Amino acid sequence: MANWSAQSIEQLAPDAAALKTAQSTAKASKWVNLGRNERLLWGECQGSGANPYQVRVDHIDVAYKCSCPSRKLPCKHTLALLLLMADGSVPAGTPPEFVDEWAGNRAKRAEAKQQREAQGGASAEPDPQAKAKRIEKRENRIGSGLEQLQTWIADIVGQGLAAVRGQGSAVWSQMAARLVDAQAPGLARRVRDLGDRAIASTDWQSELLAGLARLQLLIEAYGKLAELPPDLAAEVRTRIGWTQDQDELRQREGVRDVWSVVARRQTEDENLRTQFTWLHGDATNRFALILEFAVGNQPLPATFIVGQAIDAELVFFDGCPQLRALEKVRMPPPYPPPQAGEGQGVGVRRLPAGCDVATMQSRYAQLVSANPWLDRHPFVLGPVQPRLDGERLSLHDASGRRVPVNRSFRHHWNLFALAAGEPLTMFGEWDGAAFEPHTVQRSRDLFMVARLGDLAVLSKVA
Amino acid sequence: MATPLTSWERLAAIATLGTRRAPLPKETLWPEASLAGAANESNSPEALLLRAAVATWVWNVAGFRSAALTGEAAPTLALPRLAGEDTEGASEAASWRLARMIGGEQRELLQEWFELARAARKTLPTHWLPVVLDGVAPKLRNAFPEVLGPAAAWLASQHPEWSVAPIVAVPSRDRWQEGTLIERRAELAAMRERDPARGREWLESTWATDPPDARESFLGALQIGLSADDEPFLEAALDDKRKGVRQAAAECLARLPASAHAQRNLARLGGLIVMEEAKSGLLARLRNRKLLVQLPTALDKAAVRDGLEAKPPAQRKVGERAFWLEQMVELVPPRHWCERFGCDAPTFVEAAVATDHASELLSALSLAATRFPEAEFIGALCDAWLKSANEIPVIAQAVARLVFALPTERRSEMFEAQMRKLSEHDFDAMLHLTMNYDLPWSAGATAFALRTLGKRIAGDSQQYSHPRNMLDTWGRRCDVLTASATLPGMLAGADSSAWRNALEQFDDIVQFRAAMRKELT
Repeated sequence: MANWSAQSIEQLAPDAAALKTAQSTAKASKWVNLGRNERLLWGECQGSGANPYQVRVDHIDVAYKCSCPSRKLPCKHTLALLLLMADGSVPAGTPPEFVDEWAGNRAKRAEAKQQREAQGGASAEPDPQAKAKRIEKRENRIGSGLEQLQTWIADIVGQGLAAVRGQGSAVWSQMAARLVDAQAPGLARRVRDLGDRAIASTDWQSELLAGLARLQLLIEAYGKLAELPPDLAAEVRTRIGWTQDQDELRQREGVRDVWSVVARRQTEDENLRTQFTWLHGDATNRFALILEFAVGNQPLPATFIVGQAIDAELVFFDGCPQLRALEKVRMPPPYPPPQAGEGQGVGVRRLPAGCDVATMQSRYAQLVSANPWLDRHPFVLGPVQPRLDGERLSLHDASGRRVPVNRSFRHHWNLFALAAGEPLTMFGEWDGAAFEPHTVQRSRDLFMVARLGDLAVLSKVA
Repeated sequence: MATPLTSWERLAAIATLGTRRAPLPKETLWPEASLAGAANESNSPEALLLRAAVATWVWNVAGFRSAALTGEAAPTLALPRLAGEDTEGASEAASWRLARMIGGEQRELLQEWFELARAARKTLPTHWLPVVLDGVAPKLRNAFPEVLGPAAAWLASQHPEWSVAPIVAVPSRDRWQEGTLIERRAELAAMRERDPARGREWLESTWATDPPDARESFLGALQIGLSADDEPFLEAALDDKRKGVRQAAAECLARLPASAHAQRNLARLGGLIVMEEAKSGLLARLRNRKLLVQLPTALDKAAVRDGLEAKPPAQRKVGERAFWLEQMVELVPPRHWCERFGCDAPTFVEAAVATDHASELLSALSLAATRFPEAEFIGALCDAWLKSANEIPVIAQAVARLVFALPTERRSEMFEAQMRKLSEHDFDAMLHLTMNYDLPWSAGATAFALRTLGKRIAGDSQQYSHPRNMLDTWGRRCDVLTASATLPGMLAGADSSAWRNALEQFDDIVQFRAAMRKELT
């Protein structure tokens, strides 16, 4: 990343509190030996200890190291140093020894890794027989897990959903735990979700029946994988909990395009944070979803900035439709400018062309008919007008068709105020019943659905 | 008549009861030939139900289409735009900082943000309005309708809990008659600015039917453009049923020194306060003239109607009669005494505090001086407070109030002068003054305060935390340019001082304000 703005630094911060302390640390008076060159950035910050903290940042590859003991990464010193740079307060210079040493070590490690990879997968690949054995063992476990699940589902339907709902959450969590033991984490998650719905949803009868029926169908489909089209078979395996080997995927030929970063969002589940980044290809006109994970206090990477574009080769995971992808190669900057016809100097890319409600629903129908387990799928919807029906927000297109906005969406009023009577285009996900916006465009401006502490805000992408 | 159940609802009903209890009639199943095979091969009713359910579910989801609204078009909520406004949107960085403040960071600076935005003619972009309407108290945000922009009223009208004061460009009689209380007061205030007589006519036209809360609030707006023409109306309001209304009317009348109300008050005071004649002769001239004070003996009905209270508040240690005198003196423009006795303000104030009723007279004259502010009198009263036997916090508070009452152009100068005087007392006295003075400081006052602080830090060997905690308040009120030029040096010198953290926080606030200014220009 070459162009650091306050906003991209904010995206890098582990939480709002870290950003806040970084802001008060980002004062040139607290720093000595500040400097930067075309790749590195460094400085020393006087902290509470005797020695100043030494901070080094590779601002192109987004790597950093600070001598402070913070477990929250990036630490406030790193963020503050980036803020100072974004502010233009860091002069060009020659890296001091502690920076050179770090950069040198990093380069050595990268080289060693490349060599390992160049030496081929054969040596890295463990014994293929052992691998086959492991897979066979897992298949057996999953098989018996599925049998238990099938019996369990039949029993629930036999007893009645109302009776099972009355038995509390243990029913669901025990089954989920058994599925984890059976190495079918995808199924375990679905069962746990159903348990949550059973307690929380107002429409629990419908949701439980639909969920259980789709689970049962998944079990049956897994038993007939060979008869399914390859994409759908892969989809079924993924939903059961098989993961695709990313190293293997990387060997495939990818799809090279200019990819716009259209949205980004993070979720936190216990100790695991997941970052969803949606890309859209200029020439291929397709979406790609990049998933990144971080455990505990680990930072999530900040390699994609909403509103920017990258020239990259992506490899798509097998699935129906193919959506999840990984980045195989990224071409070096400069990245392509925003679409032609837009004002000069506007660094933000706009959303791809939107569709109306009927088109979105027809496309979704096609996707569901190919994959009955499809939940949500990305669309660019618009132009639409947000309208309030009581407290519920819905989006109306030019023909008067409307879709409700997801109930968990907390930015109703922000969106309504942003539109102020004008139509919007938005990128989001449609799940067959409700739309959840992630990025919103009003005339030329792009806004991200964001949080500032507890506040729901729309943040303009600059 | 109930609508017939859909096939999905029938399936859900069976599943809810359970297939062991509820029979599974064949016609309930989704009647498609493709399912016949499934029905044959799996004979358990559970499997049958689940298969039918998943088919129906996919069918429903894939087939779902929103209907186009026909017939009555949904109402379009057109946003009223004010033409010809020379304002521009506040930058995203400025708005983002505002949201951070609403989220809790440096929340005390919210008002300053709005003031800076107003001065720079910035309007908040509409997508930030919900954050402000939810997170900023109505009292504060209603003082800045221009910053919220024309969209705020439009947005608030859609939300049951939001209200905003309208931007009144040209006062409208319709809005005056039909608006909410806040809107009506804004209309009235705007009309009083333009044409006080029309404003009063508006008020008279609805007065009889306005509820007490509204009457009380509207009389506050009457202080704008107040003149003798308003007297008959205000005089009548002294007979209002609501005490708050009567008090508001008396407050207006007190500000009209030529009013019958004021004359009645002077008549009541009559000869209660008299000053010795100036004597000729060298010795006599050196001796101060004495003030002779008598207390009133009774409070008649007319006095009570004029707003005088018969009983002192329970917590005040003052006699009833002294309390009556105090209230009477509060209503008299201080200049009156100088004219009546042919003396200057310091002479009169000194004479007043030399009487047996020094404390009551000092309070009463101070209150009168805040109603009719005048630099000479305020200066003399500040000096009198400083010499009084009161405790430092009480003195500092009284001085701060007096300075606060001065017209803007005289204030900074007087504040700095009082700061210097109190600092001769000691640092804490000056600190108390600054705590009570809720207005921005001049560059001069800031420089002086920081110099004094520097000396205090240098000579400080104690570990009190009290004054250090007060520096946050300085950070919020001091002159940003002066402070940001001085603080880094002080910080560098205070490395091992117990004041370091406090100074750092002080500096943080100053830097925050500097950034706020940069974003709002």
